[in-house]
Order: sequence, then C-alpha cells, then structure tokens
Amino acid sequence: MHEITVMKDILRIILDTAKKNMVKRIIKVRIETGAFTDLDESWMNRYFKSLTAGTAAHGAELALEKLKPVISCRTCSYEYETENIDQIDLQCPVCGNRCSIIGDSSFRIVDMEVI
Amino acid sequence: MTRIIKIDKSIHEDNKICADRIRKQARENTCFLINIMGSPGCGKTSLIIELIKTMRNRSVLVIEGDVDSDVDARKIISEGFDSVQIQTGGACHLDAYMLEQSLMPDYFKKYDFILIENIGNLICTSGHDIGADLNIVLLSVPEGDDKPMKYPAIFKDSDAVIITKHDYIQLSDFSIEMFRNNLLSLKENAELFITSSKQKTGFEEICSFIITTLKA
Ligand SMILES: Nc1nc2c(ncn2[C@@H]2O[C@H](COP(=O)(O)OP(=O)(O)OP(=O)(O)O)[C@@H](O)[C@H]2O)c(=O)[nH]1
Ligand SMILES: [Mg+2]
Ligand SMILES: [Zn+2]
Repeated sequence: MHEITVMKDILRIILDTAKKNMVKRIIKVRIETGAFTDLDESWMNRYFKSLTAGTAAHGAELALEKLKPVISCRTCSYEYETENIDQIDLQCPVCGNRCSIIGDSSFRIVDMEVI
Repeated sequence: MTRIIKIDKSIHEDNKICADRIRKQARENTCFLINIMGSPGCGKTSLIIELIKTMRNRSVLVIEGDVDSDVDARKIISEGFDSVQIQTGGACHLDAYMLEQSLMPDYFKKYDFILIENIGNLICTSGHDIGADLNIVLLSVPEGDDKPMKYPAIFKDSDAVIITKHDYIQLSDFSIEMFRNNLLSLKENAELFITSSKQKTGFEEICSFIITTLKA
C-alpha cells in the first residue's frame, strides 16, 4: 500500500528530470534509503515496473541501497554497523556503557543513468 | 553512450514545502497543529477527548483522518467539541496536501489548537510531515514494550511518546523501564508520558508539555 505512493513520487521526479534534460530513456535509478525506512523491496520493484510502463523509464533498473543502523557508544564513541536492531545488545562491547542507535527514515533519489 | 544525471532529492521534499506553508500560516495566526499517531485502537480518539477537556478554555478543532468513515469525528462532536473528517480513500497516512485541502481559511483564526488524529498505523504515518508543530505517537500497554525497536522510525521522529491504557499494566508484562530504555537509545532526549483515558490520569502533564514547548 505504502510502497505505491512512494513509487509514484519517484516516478514523478525522475520523469520531470528526464524531460528537463531531454532524456530518451532512463536505464537505471539509484535510490538510497535510511536504516529505518520500512518499505518492502519486492513490492517497490513490482510497482515500479507497472507504473513505468509506457514512459521513458520503462524497463529501467531500480538500484536500492538501504543504509544500515549504526550502534554508537555515547561514552567512548565506539561505533559499529548492524543488520537488525530488534534483538540488539545495547551494552558497548568496549566500555560497557549504554549505546544509542543511529538511523533515519530518509528516502533519497541519488541519480539516474540515461541515454 | 549513457550518462549520469545527478538528482539528490528526497521524495518528501515537495510534501515538506506544503507542510512548511501550513505551519507558517498557522503560526501567523497563533494556532498550533498537533499530529497524533499510533496503531488502530491504541486510544487516539479517547486521548484527544480527555486532552481537550484538560485544555479547558482553549478553542480546539479536531481533524480526524480515517480511511473511509466518520465514526471518530461524530464521536468528538457528540462530546461537544468541533471536528471535521478527512477520508483518505484508502491511503495509509495523511500527507500535507490532504491536510491543506481540508483546512478552511478561518480555522487558524478561530482555533488555538488543531489536533489531528492520523490514520491508525505505526509505519506509514512516520516520515510524512503534515505541517504539525508537534508530532506525538501513542503506544498502548497491550501492544507491548518492544515496539520502539520494531518501528524505530515513528518513535525517533516524534516529539513526544505517550504510553496509553496504563490501567492495563497489572494484566500485562509491559515494562515501562524497558520501554523507556529502548526509546532513549533511539532518541536521547525523548519525552515520555503515561496516561489512562479510562482513569483520566496523565493529562495535566501532557497539557503543560504542549503549552511550554509551543509557548502557546
Ligand atoms: N481500559 C482502557 N481502555 C481504553 C483507554 N483508551 C481507550 N480505550 C478503549 O480502547 C478502544 C479504542 O479506543 P479509541 O480511542 O477509539 O482508539 P483509536 O486509536 O482512536 O482507534 P482508531 O481510530 O480506530 O485507530 C475503545 O474501546 C476505548 O474505550 C484506556 O486508557 N484504558
Ligand atoms: Mg480513533
Ligand atoms: Zn563504549
């Protein structure tokens, strides 16, 4: 449900950019999402495919990069990346103090490859 | 030959412009918008009713966001308060455009506060700026104390978190300490409140938080 509104936003932005830059065809769109962005990749791809039909982005590849959450110690500044914060131990492996979790729900179109 | 066109644009950018426009207009008329979020049934409508009662002499409008009904708006009106309904027609969250369309020109002059009940959802509502001055997320005791780790975005992006239905605490294994620690690891300066709409507790604290934070 939510993925479709996001994909519509993306499509609007890339087609606008394509028009302004006299693009014939969009080949690849690079997207970077924050660690807490809750979107399902397979649904995004599916919606992207159907929404781009008949446009300059038809058949384009969607390259999604999801940033990982970073666990950061407030006391000694030790930091490491993690996959999943669900079961994470928040005790710092170096100094034993409590860590914080860094990430956001950003959603950024980085660039696109075109002809 | 292919070429790369740099875009570097957040998809929320256009919505943010609309949200900033709403915020600016509201502020010019010293009206404040508060976005209330939380899962279906977590107690949003009940909390809004108790909150308005606690706000006493302030004039408040409630905007009810729902997918396809006006049950909550009618409930607010039956309590003697003003309410209008936005039906999203299937959309899982409100955005600034939907809100802007529902705002009548005199609302900002007429009301001190506009409370917006967002669609019941912990995922989609986060990250969508609707022009509110305060974003508040509710989590009821029966939902469990692990939710900040499962839905980090909404807890991180909120200005305050309210544990609702505190009267259920004896029946549940919900640990307020655990919840608070999880929340603080996502957001160092998180504001946490605890209410029960049934027992009518915790509302004075929220009221003074709102009034001091917004200098309203
Ligand atoms: N025991 C108890 N029940 C509550 C409390 N707050 C709300 N409820 C009950 O929980 C149910 C849902 O409350 P609502 O206020 O309608 O919840 P909501 O979040 O607005 O629900 P939706 O708009 O449908 O997402 C109702 O039966 C309320 O009476 C509370 O503090 N304690
Ligand atoms: Mg409700
Ligand atoms: Zn450390």
